[in-house]
Amino acid sequence: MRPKLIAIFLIIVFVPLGFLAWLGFELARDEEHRIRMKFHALFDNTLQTRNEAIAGVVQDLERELLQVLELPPLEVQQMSKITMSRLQAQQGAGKSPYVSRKLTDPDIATLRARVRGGRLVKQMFVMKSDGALLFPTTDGTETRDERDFLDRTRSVWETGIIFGRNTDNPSNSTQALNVQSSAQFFNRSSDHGWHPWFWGNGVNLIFWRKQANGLVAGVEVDRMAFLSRIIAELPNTHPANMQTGERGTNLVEQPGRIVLKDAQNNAIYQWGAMEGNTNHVAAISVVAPLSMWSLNYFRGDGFGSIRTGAWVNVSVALVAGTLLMIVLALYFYRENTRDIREASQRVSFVNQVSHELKTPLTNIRMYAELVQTEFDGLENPSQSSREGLGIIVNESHRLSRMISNVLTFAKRRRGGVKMNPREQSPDEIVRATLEHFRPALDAKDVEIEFEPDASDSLAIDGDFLEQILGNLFGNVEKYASDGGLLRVTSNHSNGQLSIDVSDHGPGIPPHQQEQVFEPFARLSNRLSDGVTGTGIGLTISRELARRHGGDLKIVPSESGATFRLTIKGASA
Amino acid sequence: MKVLIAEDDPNTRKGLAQILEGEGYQTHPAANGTQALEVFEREKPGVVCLDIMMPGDDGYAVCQKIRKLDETVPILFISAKSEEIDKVVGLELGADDFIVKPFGVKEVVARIRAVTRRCLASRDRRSEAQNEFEMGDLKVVPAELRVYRGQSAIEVSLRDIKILTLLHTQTGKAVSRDLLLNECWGLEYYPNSRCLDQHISQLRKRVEKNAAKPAIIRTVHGVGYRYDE
Repeated sequence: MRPKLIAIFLIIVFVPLGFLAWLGFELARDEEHRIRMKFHALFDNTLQTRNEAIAGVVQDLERELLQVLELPPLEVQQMSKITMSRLQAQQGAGKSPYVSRKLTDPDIATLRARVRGGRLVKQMFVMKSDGALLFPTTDGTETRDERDFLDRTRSVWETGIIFGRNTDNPSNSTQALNVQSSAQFFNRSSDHGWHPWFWGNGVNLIFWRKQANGLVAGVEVDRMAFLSRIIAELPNTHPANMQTGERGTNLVEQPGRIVLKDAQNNAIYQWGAMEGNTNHVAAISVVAPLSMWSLNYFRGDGFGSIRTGAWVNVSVALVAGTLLMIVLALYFYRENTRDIREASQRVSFVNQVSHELKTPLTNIRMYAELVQTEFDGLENPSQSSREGLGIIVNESHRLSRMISNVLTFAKRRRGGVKMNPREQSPDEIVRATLEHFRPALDAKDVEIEFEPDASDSLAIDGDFLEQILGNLFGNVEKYASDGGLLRVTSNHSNGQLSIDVSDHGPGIPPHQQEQVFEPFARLSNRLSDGVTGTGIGLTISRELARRHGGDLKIVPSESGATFRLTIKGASA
Repeated sequence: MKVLIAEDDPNTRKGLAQILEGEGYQTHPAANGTQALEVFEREKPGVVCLDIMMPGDDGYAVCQKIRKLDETVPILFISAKSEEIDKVVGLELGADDFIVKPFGVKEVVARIRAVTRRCLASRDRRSEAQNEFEMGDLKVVPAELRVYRGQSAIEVSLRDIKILTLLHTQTGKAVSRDLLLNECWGLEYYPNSRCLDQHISQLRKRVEKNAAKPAIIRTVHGVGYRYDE
C-alpha cells in the first residue's frame, strides 16, 4: 500500500510541476524575446535620436556652405599658350581635367578670400559643366594649398566625375554614395550636393553648387571642422556621463555606451559609461552623406537584467506551484491515511467488541452443553428443561455465526480477510456444521439429507467453509423451513470442491437472484415475517468462496432454491 | 494425565476444568500468565491449555517460555481471537492446536483427545510398549484413545481407557466402586457413586453391542462391575 501511495504522491506532485515548469519556461522565453525586441526598438530609437542630431549638423553645414557658394557670376578666360604647353608637357597625352581655360583673376581672388574666410572651408574649386576644373589650376599661379588640394583630390577627379549632371541617374557616383535613406536628402535639390571621398585616415566631404553660367563651384569641407561640429551636438564624454551613461529609456536601467564608428569600424567618438559595456546590442547607419559611418549601442550585460527578471518570476511561480502541489498531495495523503486509520479503528473496534461478546457466549454455550450432558445421564430428565437447554445451545450457535459474519464484514473492507488453508475433509466439516443445525431444524420438522462425496482431504480454510455453510443452512432454517427439507450434496474432483445446498421453500425469483448477494439486501423487510438477520450472510459467503478461488451461485432447481458453492483447494 | 488450564475468565476456566475432568484428566487452573508458568513448573502437566489474552504474560509469551522448558508438551491455544494471523503466530510459536471461542464441549473434547493421542503415541514409541488388549470382540488401543470393533473405531476418553484397563487387569473379578473411583477418578476426587454409574452407562452406550444387555461391563450388584472373558 505504502509504495503505491508514494508513487501516486510523486505523480501528483511532479507531473503537474513538470508541465508547469515547461509552461513557465516557454512563457519566460516568449517574454524574454518580446522584451528583447522592445529593447532593440528602444536602442534603435536612442541611436536614431543621435542620428537626427547629426542630420541637423549636416543640414546646418549645408546651409552654411550654400552661403559660401553664393558667388558672383564667374568669368572664364583662355589660358596663355605658354601655360598650355607647359601643362601638356607636364601631363602628357590623354584625357585631362585640366583645361585650357581658367577663371579670371578677380574671381580667383574672391574664391581664395572665401577659403581664407571660413574655418569650415578647406579649399574651393570650380568645375566646368563638362567636368574640367577651372579652379584651382596648375598653371603656376596656384598656391601651395591649392596644389595640395589637387593632390588630395586626384582620386576624385580621375573618376571623371561631373557634379550636378544626371543627378537622377542612380549610377552617378555622387548619388551612388548616398546609400540608404539619405537619397531623398540629396534629391531634394539637384543644384547642390555632397560628395564624400576617402583620403588620409577617413572620409572627407565635398559640397558643390551649380553656378549661373553652367559652372559648378564646390567646397572641400574641413574634416576637423565638421567632426567637431558633429561631436559638439553629441553628448559629452564626461565623467558624469560615464557614470550615468546613455539612458535610452527608463526601462533600460543599466547605462549603455554609444560609439560613432567610421567605415573602417574605428571609433571616431564615444560617450556613455565605459565600464563593462562591451556587448554590441544595436547599430544604425549615420545619415547621408556620412552613411558609411555607424552608431553603435553597447551594453555591459546584454539582456542579463531582463533575463533575471523573467526567470525570477518563473522560479517564484515554480516554487509556489511546488509548495501548492506538495500541500495538496499531503492533504490527499492525509485524507487517505485517515480513511485507512478510521477503517482499521473500526475493525479494531469490531474485533474488540466481538472478543468481549465471545467470552460470555463461550460460557453460555459451554455450560448449556455441560448441563445437557448431565441431563443425558439422568434417568428421567424434564423434557421442557431439555428443550430449553437445546434452545440456549442453538441460539448461542446463531449468535456466534452472527459475530463471525460481522467481524468478516468489517475486515473485508480493508482486504484483511486472509485464508489459512489446511488439509481437511470437506465432508467432515459439512457433517459437523449440519450437526450444529440438527436440533434447530428438527424443531421445525426439517428433514436433513446429506449425500457426501468429498471425503478426501483438501487444503481449505475450514473455518470459512463452516461460516459459509452456516449462513446457507441458517437461511434454510429462517426462510425455507416450510419446505421441510435441507438437502446437501458434496462432490470433489480435480481439486475442486462443489457443495449444493437445496431446500423446498418458496425459492428466489430470477430477477432477485443476484440481489440477494448485495450487502443488506433483504427480499422482504416486513418485520411481521418474523425473520431476523443482518443481511450480510450471503455477501460475505460469496466473497469468502471467491477468495477460495471459487464462487457461490444460485442454480436452477425444480422447487425451492439451490445454492452451489465451489471452492478450489489451495496447493498445500 | 495432568492438564494446565490458563484462562483469566473464571467461568470459562471452571467449565473447561469440568469438561476435562469428565474426560479423566487432572486439571490445574491458572488465572494469568505468571501463575501459569508457576503451575507448569510445579506440576509438569502432560497437556497445556492457554488463553491468549491474559493479564501479565499473554498466551504467546507463556507458550514461548514453556517451549524453552519443554519441547514436547502439547500446547493448545484457547482464544476469542480468531484472526487467521493469530493462529499462524500461535502455531509457529510451537502450539499444537487452536480452539476458537465460542467453542462447544464436543469440540474441546475432540481436540484434547487428539492432542492426548499424539502425546501417548510418541510416549509409546519411546518405551516400545505395546499395551493394546482385547475385551471380547473389542480391541482396546489406549494410545489412540480408541476401541475397535472389527473395522469400526469408537472414540473414548482417557477415563474410559482407565476403566476398561482396570476391568481387564481384574478379568473375572468384581471391581468395587471404591477401587474404580480411586483408580479412575483419583483419591482427591470425591464423586458420588451415582456419577460412576452414569459414566458406566454412557460408556456402555458406546462400547456395548446392546447397552441393555451388557457383555463387556457387567454389573455386580452391591459391589461394582466385572469383565468376563
